[in-house]
Amino acid sequence: MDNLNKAYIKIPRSFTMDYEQIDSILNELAVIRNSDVHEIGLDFTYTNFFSAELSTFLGIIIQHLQSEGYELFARNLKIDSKVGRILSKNEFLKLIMDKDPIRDTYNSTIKYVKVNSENINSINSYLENNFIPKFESTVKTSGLNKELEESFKDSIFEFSDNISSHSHSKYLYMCGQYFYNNKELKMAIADMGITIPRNLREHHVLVGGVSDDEYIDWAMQKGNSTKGIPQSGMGLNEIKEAMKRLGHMTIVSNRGYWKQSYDGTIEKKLLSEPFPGTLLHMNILLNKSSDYENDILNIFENDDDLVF
Amino acid sequence: MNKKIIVKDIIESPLAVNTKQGKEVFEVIEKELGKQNVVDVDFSGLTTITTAFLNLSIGKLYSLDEPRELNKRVKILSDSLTVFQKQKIQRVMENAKIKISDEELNEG
Repeated sequence: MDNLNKAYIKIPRSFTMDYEQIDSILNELAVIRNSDVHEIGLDFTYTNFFSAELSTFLGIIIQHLQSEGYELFARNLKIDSKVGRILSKNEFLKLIMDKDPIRDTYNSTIKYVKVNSENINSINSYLENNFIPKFESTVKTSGLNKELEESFKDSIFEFSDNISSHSHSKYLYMCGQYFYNNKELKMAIADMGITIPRNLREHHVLVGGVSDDEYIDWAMQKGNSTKGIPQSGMGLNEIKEAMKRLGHMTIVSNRGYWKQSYDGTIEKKLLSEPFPGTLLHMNILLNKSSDYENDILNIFENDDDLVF
Repeated sequence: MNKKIIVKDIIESPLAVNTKQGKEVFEVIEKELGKQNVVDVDFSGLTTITTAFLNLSIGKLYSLDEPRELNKRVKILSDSLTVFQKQKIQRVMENAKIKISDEELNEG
């Protein structure tokens, strides 16, 4: 903090979905909210890499702070720098700066958007226009890309229905980025709702001192739900299973950080301070698609009838 | 009498993705079963189907009757589904069956 009215959140040097970086931002945010400031600067002084889909993470924080009456601004972010250009292209900077976006000539940037979680046509158009072409241009095997696209889209819609049903949040925030060199397609989708741990605590689904990361882990298991009807509890588990074929996934919700790597390893950690919503981050490894080509082809042999 | 219902026509969308749509389809099936019809459920033309939709449209059918009776009276047209979609329906059916038997055990 450099004067009584302003404080700064330091954006990490290389901002990715790693626990340490997410935690450091939330920590700085908590310090600021306990002080008596009115203006908060996002300090990009040392930032030389910003994984653009994390505009969703920062966007949720900005909108949360704005709703509490704080004024937000960017510090030391040059529009002609690498980070400045990418955040201008994806229109994230419109949240905190009055600048027209730069046009994306490489077609790798995916816009930061806010949509009503019940507006399925808008969500579908966003996915079809921005993400699906990346599958089609990268995964050349006929049939395989269709199956991967289906898994990806299903996951997003499972998440959006979960938001509508549980979180009391009307809107979804989404952003993405395609990393051409290593063929990674990243997406972050989030809400500003009640969060998974708080919802589960309210429903008393687990007893004792259960931590937020454990609550997320519970919600990811097949059949676990608070809906109170037998036909439920599959959505988050479906995403988890689909991501075993697609790449890495991370969920941040309140103080829980839960990550499933492509090799199936689960990492659960407690964040020092809460995130004001639930965020799903997907890192789709399109260059790994050939790994599961045989699995996909075997699926085609399933001729069983559907029996109740 | 056999009555074919086309899911896409009921929800007026190729995206079968939420619980509200699932409930709409369930109500149509329930109504036809009430008329003693055998219902053929056609999923053609759907590009995306989620478990959120299937739990309510198909999974909830287990609350109406025993599986043996459902097999006689509701036919899911497999040819109208992609392999992924078909697998998803199988998972939804399994989940509903497990949960219903858990509930019966708890009640018993």
